[in-house]
Amino acid sequence: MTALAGLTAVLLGSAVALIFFYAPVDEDGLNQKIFYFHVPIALTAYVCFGWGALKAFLHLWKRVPTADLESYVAIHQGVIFGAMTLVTGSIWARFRWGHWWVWGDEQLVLFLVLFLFYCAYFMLRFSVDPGPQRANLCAVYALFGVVLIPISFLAIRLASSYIHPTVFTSSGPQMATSQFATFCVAWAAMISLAYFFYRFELAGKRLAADLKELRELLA
Amino acid sequence: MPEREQRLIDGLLLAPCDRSAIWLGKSVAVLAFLAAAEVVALPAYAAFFSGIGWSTIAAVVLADVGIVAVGTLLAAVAAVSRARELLLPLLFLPLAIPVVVGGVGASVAGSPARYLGFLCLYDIVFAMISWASFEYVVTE
Repeated sequence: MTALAGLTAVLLGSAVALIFFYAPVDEDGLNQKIFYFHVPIALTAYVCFGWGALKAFLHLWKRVPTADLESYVAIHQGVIFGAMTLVTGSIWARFRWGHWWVWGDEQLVLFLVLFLFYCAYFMLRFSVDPGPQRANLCAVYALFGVVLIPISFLAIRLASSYIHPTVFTSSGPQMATSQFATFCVAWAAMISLAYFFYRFELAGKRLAADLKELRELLA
Repeated sequence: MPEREQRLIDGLLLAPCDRSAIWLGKSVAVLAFLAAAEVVALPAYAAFFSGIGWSTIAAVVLADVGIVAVGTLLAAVAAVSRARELLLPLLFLPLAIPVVVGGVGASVAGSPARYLGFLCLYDIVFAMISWASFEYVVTE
């Protein structure tokens, strides 16, 4: 845990250093730097949702006893990173496109819809009494979510008129090597940060559960 | 919702068959209702608007299947919760958006085949997940 925190701090520090001192300023000017935060945060949110769905699948299939809590915590982190994606994206859009939010861009609306889908996960989870059935319902919902993500992307690709820049095409990343290296470090930092939060929240939740059990034993 | 209040679901679960058959039965019933409503609605739309082609009808049928497959499962999910009337639309709306995109695309686009294929994909994928996961929703 401490080692993970240290690694995260080092990665974040080096990512920030690379972003501001190594990566070149391209034709968009300084506001392009937020790309190194916005995109890694968004990808990390998707990784968290995928991880949550994997844990949900393990819960349903193998009945791993800890998987339900792990799935919940992963999706919780995914929603936090999703909110950060919306905020950083809005700031970037304000400078790049002149508006905080563009309803005409399908990718923005799609991300909002997926974000709200996972917000509904919490409404579902906290309106069902804790127990094995709640774990099942949440797991099924998390699995729906991870299938909804690619399906929604396919839908907007079909109906696309989006102004979002496409950086990763079938011919590889469309940026300079120094930019790509910076991007990779920034992404690794975000993944590491998310994993640290995940472990941290998980430890807290387990501690709370143990404490509750002890209290019940004493009472 | 007599199913939960009068424990009808327990009777259904006792039936000596695969639990997913319950999902299939409910889906077919909802599909029949939807189809009945559309038999009335579609000619009315055709009369008042610009007419309806075969691609629109195909899109409606495919969209029905998707809505019914996902809706039946989510209704069973929402029925367990305390806020069931409130929760179902919240759970269902994001999942219905690809259906809306595909359905609208198939009825207005010049080449509807891509959209119809997309709706087929949606139906197959979500019907499979719903079929596989219904058992976990109704049992513990």
